[in-house]
Amino acid sequence: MSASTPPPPPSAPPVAPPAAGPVQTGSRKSKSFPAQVFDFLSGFGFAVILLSFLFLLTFLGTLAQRNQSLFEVQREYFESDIILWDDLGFPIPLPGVRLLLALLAVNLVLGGIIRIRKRAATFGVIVTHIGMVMLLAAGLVEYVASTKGHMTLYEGDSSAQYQSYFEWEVTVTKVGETRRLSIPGEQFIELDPEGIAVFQHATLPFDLVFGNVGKNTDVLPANQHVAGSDLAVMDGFFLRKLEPNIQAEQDVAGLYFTATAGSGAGAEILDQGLLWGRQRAPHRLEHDGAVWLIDLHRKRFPVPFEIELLDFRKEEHPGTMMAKAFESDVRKTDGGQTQELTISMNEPLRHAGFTFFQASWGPSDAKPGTPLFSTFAVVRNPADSWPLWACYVITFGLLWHFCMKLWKHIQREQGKRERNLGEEA
Amino acid sequence: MTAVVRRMRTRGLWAGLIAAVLLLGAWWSPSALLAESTSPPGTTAQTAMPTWPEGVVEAFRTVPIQQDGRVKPLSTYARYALLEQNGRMTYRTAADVKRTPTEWLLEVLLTPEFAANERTFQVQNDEVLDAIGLAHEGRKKRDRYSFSELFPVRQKLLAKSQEYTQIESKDRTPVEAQVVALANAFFEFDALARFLDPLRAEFPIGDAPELRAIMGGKESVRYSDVVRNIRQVGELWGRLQHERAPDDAELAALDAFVRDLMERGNSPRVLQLLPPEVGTEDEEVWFSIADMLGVGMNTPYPVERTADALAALEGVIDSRGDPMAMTAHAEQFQSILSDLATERGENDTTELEAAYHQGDWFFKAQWLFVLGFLFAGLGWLFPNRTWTGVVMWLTSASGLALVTLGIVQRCIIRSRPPVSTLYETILFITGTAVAAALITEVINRRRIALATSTFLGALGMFLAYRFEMHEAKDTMPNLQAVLDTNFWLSTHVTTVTIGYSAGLFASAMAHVYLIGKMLGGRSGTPVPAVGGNLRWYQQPDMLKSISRMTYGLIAFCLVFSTVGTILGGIWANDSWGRFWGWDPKENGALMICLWAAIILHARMGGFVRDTGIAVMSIVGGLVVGFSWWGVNLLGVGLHSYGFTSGAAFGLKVFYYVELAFLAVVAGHQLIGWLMRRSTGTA
Repeated sequence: MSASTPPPPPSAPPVAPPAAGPVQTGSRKSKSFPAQVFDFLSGFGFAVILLSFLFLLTFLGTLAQRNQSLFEVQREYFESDIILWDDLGFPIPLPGVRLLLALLAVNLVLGGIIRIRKRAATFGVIVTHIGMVMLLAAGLVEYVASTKGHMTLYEGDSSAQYQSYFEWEVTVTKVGETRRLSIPGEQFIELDPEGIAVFQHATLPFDLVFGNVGKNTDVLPANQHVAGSDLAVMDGFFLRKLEPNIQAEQDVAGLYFTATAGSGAGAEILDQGLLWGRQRAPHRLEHDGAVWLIDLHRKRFPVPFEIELLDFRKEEHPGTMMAKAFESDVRKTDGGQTQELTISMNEPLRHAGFTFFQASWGPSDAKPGTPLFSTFAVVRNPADSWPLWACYVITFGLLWHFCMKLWKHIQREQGKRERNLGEEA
Repeated sequence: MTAVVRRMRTRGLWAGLIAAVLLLGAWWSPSALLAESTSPPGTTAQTAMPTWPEGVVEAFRTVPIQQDGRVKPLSTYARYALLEQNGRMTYRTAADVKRTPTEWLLEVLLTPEFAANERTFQVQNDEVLDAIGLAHEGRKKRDRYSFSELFPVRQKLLAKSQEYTQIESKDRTPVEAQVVALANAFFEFDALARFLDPLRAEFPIGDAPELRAIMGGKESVRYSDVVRNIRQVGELWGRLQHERAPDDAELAALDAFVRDLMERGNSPRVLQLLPPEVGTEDEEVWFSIADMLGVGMNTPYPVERTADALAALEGVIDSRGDPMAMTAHAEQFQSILSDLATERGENDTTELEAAYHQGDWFFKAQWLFVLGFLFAGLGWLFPNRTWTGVVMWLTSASGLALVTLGIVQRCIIRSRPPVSTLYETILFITGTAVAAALITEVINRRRIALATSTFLGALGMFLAYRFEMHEAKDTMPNLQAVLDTNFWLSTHVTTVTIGYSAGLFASAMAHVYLIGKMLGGRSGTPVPAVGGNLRWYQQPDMLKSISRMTYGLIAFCLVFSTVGTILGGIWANDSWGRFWGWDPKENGALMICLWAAIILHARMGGFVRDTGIAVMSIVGGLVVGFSWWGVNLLGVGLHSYGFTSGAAFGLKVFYYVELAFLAVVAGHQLIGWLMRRSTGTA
């Protein structure tokens, strides 16, 4: 993955194989500081450190999934730069996987592609490193630019949007207008229990103040309210915050909002209420003769074409409840052109940069004749096919390198045996 | 079955009665068994131990049945039913006669009065008996009990089992889990013991002349006669109900006949034994004996050949004591059912599967590897003897041939690539590790890889045997929908599994290296011979060579693990819509890749040498263990089809042994360093 200039062991033959060995760039004393930094960043030692931390973080992140949702673990371990790991009772700072992967990419490029000796023996190693860089680039593009969610359709239904598994948004719509103001969940979902967030927009004649935000909540009627410990009752209901689910997609966010005319201590309160992720209808706010709809729901993404579910089929192994196959016949309508296709397990539909995967179906307790729905996982990932190309490159590089090494090893062993036979003769 | 039941709803009274019987049948076993007045089959009469003619056993061994969504030989069902009940795949009667699974099943089906008194129910801990209130004074803590002994506590057994079933299986205590397993085995035995009851019965015609005419003038008929003529009986009953007065004698006789039929012609549907005489597109689910009244009455399916098969089975029941006749009836029964299954295109691999289980290739391979390992030990005691090497080669290559034969047969039976279940990973990893060791031996010719191949083979086959014993389930289950892709099973799963085997083989070689070093071998320069006879670790360049092999295997592991892991990501991208999701199983595979990369880079960077590579390779073995088994024990993630229970103990033992070994190595290194330091050679 990189090349460096290790000091030779004092009393043993050099252990580093010459094929992928370091480039000698002169003695360490004569090197400038930037050169030393370059040496470090491109060195085997740095590679080993990064790989070791990556190994450790992967292990810890795997164990953490026993008690935490995958979503939380991903954010804490794999999409962070620094974590404070405190499973032993005291915090230990560790680099997050995002930071480690960024540094690994630097090490790969500097050591494994730029600095490494360019000759026939290192050809496979260089190719492999290029493939690894491609893979990391695919991960980066997916992390930065992809969107993921699901589209659930009953037979006969159609849709041109999908919704996120985890992300939330509050939308504010003026009745009679099609334009909609969206407040992304990342701006309020992580608020402290006592924290508030104020939102203003030029098109809004009022400010919105969010508080008491819960990632996972339930709504209970006022008759179950315990004064002093529960949150305030609004329109006969109150929010109760719950522990996050291990399956984070099952969490239902909730919050209290206040609409005010102007900001500051003297601002007039126009309306107050609670928003819950599973409420059937948006909150209705009347102000200056206009009606506004405020809604909290999972983030929705538009698709530039329409998908209609024509038929959903599930097949079970005979005499069992175990699914053998399930697949959906869909009609795709894009710019007046329609096409009928089948989406099944391992056979997704790819179109216009979006991919639709057969994810699940329901209701799980459906009886014969019960209308079924089909759920598609929908992904928009510009780097969708990059891992496949990276896989080709890495496979070629690794096989080339290690087959060459194996061939040399066989020749060496054969030579030894012939020499031994010669000596015996 | 669902199609049949659906059609029944549209028929008349007769159909309704049959439907009621069918529905009752689904619950028959517990309710009938739990009644206070019920007696176990074995308490009414003691019978002599039956003997089963070879032809009868052979015929029943290959009878096709449908179970858990696939067609398999009756012997496969018997194998796992006996294993679940008895904890072993064979059992010895009270008279110390060894019984195969098929013979045991014949005993339960045909001579339940004998089988009920045989102690075939394994109770692993007498706390299970305390829980269900069965006295066990004078018995061993772990002992076997008969159906008749358990019968008096059947109600408590059911109640406790129902109580413990409410607890999630991973949260049950061992005793709770054993109570549930015992209850399952007990009620399955009961269902089997009563399965052939309709075929044992005679149904008197009574004073019903038209019915007698339909039945060929007989005074009483067997179940097969009824099935053959069921449609005419139904039509007669319907006609007489319209034509005759309610108190008509013939109608009353027919009524009595029908009620008798429904009562005694009903039996538990524990075996789906009878292929529908129509194509699979019409009816996918096979029938049980008690289904046939409903099938004959409520569907247009032909039933004549099924009636012939049932008549043959009645012949088997009736001809006890006449081996020739019994064999003839059994062969006829098997032949009819096989033909029916073949016509449906569902009998392609039944005989092969029966032969596969009878061959027991993996068990035989295990002993070949053990024998080879014994000769490896002898080879170390007598290093210059050629014959030890020859025997090692023969045993290891033969063991590998048997493992390969078994895997190939499984592939043909399942129409799948070699690896699609956790059990198959054990077989494939063992096979590829042994093959890799033999190839290494061809290149290296130092007998180290050869000896290691015998050890890995024996260990792998033992693990496969223990896994099958512990799970006590068919090892060829149907696959979940997401796994129904031979392309990805043959690329991703196979590749990543080869990576596992390379990692474990490297770990094994690292053990050899470190043992050699602790015994006094040196990496690089030869140790002077003592008495002119060099031990294996004293041979010139031996340890260096082992270290090179270990390094090569780590590289091999890196190649296959990396390619396999990326292929897995590409598969996940096609199935679940994301390349990488940090799922535990994915992380486990990534950890193997990372660890192998760490070893290679640490070596290239000069941070570790031969001993360091060996130690890191052993840690690599632990990483493979975590990825292969450990992540399954976490019980989270998308790879739920790989979950297993009960492997935790084995994995802990593996970890403790390996860590103890590494501690010994560290201690040895420390002592060596201190001694060198004290003598000034450090």
